[in-house]
Amino acid sequence: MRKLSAIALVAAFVVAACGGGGTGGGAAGSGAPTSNAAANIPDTLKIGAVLPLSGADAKTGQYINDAYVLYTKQVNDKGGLTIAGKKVKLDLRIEDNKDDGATSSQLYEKLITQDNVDFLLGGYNTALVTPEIKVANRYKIPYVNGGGASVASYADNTWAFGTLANIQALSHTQLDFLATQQDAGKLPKPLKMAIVYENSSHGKEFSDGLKDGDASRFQIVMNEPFDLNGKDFTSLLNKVKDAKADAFMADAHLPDYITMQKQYGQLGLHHLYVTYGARGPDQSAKDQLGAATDYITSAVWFDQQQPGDLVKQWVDMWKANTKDAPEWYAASGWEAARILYAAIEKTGSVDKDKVRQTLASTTWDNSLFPGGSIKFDKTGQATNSYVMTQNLPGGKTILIWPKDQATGTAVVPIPTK
Amino acid sequence: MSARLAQLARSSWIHLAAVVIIGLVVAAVPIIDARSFNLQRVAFFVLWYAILAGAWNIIGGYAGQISFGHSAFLGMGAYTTGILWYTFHFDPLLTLPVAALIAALYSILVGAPTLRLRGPYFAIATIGVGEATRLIAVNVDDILGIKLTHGVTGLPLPSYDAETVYFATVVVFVIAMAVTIWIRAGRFGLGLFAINMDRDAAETAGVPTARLQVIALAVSAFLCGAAGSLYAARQQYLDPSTMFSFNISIAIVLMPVVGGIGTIWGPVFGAILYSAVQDQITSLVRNPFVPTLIYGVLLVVIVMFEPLGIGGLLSRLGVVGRKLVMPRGGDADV
Amino acid sequence: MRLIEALVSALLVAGLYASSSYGLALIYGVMKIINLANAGTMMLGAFMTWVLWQWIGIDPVISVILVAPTCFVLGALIEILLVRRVSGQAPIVSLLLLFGVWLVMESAAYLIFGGETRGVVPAYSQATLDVGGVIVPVTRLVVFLASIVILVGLELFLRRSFLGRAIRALAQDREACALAGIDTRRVGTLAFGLGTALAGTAGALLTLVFSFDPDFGRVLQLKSFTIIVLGGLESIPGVAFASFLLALAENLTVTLSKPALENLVSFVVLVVVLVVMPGGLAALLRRRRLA
Repeated sequence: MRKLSAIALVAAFVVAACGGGGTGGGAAGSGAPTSNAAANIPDTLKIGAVLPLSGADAKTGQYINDAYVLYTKQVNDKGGLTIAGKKVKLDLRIEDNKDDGATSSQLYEKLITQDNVDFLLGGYNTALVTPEIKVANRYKIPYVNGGGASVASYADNTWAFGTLANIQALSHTQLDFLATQQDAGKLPKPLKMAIVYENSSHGKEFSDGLKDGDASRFQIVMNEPFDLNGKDFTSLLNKVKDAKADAFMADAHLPDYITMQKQYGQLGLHHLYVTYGARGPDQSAKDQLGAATDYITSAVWFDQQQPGDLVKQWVDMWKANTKDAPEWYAASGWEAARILYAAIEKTGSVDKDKVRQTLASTTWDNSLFPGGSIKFDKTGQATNSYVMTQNLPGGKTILIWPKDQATGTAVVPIPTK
Repeated sequence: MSARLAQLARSSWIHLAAVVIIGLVVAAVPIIDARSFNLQRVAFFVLWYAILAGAWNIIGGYAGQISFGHSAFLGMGAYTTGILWYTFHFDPLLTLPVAALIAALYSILVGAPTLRLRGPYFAIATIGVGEATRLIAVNVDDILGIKLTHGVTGLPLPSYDAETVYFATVVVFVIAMAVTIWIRAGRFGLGLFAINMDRDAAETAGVPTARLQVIALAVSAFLCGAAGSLYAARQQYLDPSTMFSFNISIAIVLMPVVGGIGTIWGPVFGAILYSAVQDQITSLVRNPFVPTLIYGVLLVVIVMFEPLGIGGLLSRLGVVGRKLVMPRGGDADV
Repeated sequence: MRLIEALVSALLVAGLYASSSYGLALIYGVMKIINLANAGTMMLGAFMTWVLWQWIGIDPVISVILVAPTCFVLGALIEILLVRRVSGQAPIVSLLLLFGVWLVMESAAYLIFGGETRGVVPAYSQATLDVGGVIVPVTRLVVFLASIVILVGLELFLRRSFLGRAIRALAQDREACALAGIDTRRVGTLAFGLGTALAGTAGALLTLVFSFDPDFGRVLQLKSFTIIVLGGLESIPGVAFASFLLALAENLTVTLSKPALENLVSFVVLVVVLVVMPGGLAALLRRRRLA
């Protein structure tokens, strides 16, 4: 009976495709969270994460990956986490989402339902983090990330936490800095700004934040979105040229920053002030662009030149253990892992809801981030302030803001060649 | 002619019965084990891919018009449901027929002019349509100054019971397969196969080629739109770069071609292979590009040696009857 | 002044587009095959250039000397081993086949090189020239000049050399060629190889202007479709002209409307031209001349 064998075959395929599935168990579905008593503390705790390890954001994803792996290793070397007196090892599983949002949320779902991970470490890039947070909320599992800064990602959210403050604050920080430069007579008042931003919630918030500027100080002469991962920004940059602005304010992720700045130089553009949002001192940009990255300022969530022993020790440890530059991506990922594990220990239980409450209510000290501590607001986002950097000729980068942490004087305006 | 049709009809009942049995088996999963989230997850995606592959097969396999832009219809359906759900708070599954209809209407809009094109030209045109649709979906809010798709920020949707969506998916799958079987057995399908083999000859023989192709595309788009709606209900987040992506369009082509283009079960084999590879091989090999390599090689091999895809390979091995995997009941010519 | 800048800018971009389209146009014209692996070959050309740059530090323009022949051989192999096997079947079969080849190329590149974006940065990559008040990046000028050289060289080859004329004859009427004693299979292989070499060369040259990853070539390839359809699928000068038109249209869209719609232009033009003017501009002009 060939038809029957065909049916059997299809059924067999379906079962085979389920792999190690079986009954999902463990993870809570769309019902109420399982309120396990503290008694059930396993010997190993499974932590799941999905990062863009290939594709346009591969470089950044790698930093965060290395941060998660290194921190987890250090914890395990000390015997693991201590939860209610019991030593528990950590089993970290990281998957690659090829920089695709749908893949990422599906992989997180698979980690939850098939691998039965207990807690989640987050991904990178707003476009991916937003659906990931949805998954975390759907399955009611705590998710701590160091890679999503847009407010939109944390809408309707209870279970996700992010170490990065929102982007509008980034824009406001830059405006504050620019205002001081205007008062010192280094920049014109009003300052004409040409804004280009990546077409994402990250970019939109950057642009919106700049619109909050005092109208007597800041005038927006151009405000255009561009498609991410573009190859050619010539037409866009020509439009920027026509706008005859004083300042070029762009918001882009690393690959677009590199492409755009390369073409910026080639088209002979010049502004008194140039920024790419949270991009600027990235080592791979300096490697590829050389002198084209000179004088670019950025507002970031962490810089290795921040004062204090804690930061210095971390930077030294990082350089000793990895080949990566100690950029903010690494620090952010590190903080995410540190805080998640600390929350589990502090709660003294692996109960997901209790850990979530600990995450939400605690002020996490000993932080690498400016201010020294992280407290998540009611949407789950941290609210730390930014530091600003500027690249100087010769490959050096200095901290220029806030004043009390600056390691050098900013070069404003950018000199003409 | 009618004897042939009667023969087709007879074998069709058996296919239909097989589909229903599979549907019942799959639907039983959450009933038997209420906490089988993983099994549900896997089964959802297998069924979902099978719907898409089967839908594509109607225009690509039966009618022979290869489309590389099918994600446009998927996205249309998904966003219709998303927008109605978000803005008017309709139950997403109730909006499914509307979503499918909108996708079908869109397909008529883009299909009427382009289906006149032959083979590779149509394929290229569909790439253009697919990408154009994506760009429009991303930018429509900015251009018109409204809040419709929310552009790249994405459309966040309220919670919804995953199990209900799962049952709905099983139903849509059964319907999609039934449509595939029914088309193959009827005059409509015969017309499509005729167009596939030789459009001019069919035209001369009196087959209304233009109309049939548009209908085939509309049916295909309808089912894709339904699948999009299901996706929106389950994932509760839509983002235009993903929903209208070229990668999904590629997957929608790969599955039925690798599984067995123009056959009933080919798309299902292709969907199972695709899900299994995506799900399991990625973890095994730790490199997400190995699956793409596998698909590429499979595609080349199948195109060159076994146009009936996996189904054809299986039939050569004697695992399944040749008749089962033929594009039409029992004919030697493809 | 701004108009001149726009024209110069469009001209330079046209050079990029034309370079990446010649290979596609040639293969289609001769073999009536749409080579979806064109993007893959461009990407391989770019990576080959990058590897040479990293190891030996040779300039991309010079590395064409190595890249072009390698891609020629690759193309010939693809034709002999794969494309020829399906030559009797419907054109869609070769389309799917070459699509599969492209997937293989892309994933192989991901596996070997990883997904990171890479760039080639010769000393003059930031240099600009002042041409009568218009600032022209040197790298784009180089690519533009190279595309002119290719255009002229290709046309000369096709019109003056025996092989070139054989290729054109094959494009016009395959059966007549066979009757005239031309080895159609060999000429077909050579044409495919030549088309692939052109794609690889384009990839090598474009590293001067773009950074790239294994997905490189996809968006350009889609624009190339638009260009060869617009320019008339069998005309090399048509490609150059259509490249300019497309570049101009995109430039105007960005300047007058939203930059985010830049890529939409090519897709809309593609679909419109396919439906309304299947012969492209060349056919339109031919009709005028005959009328």
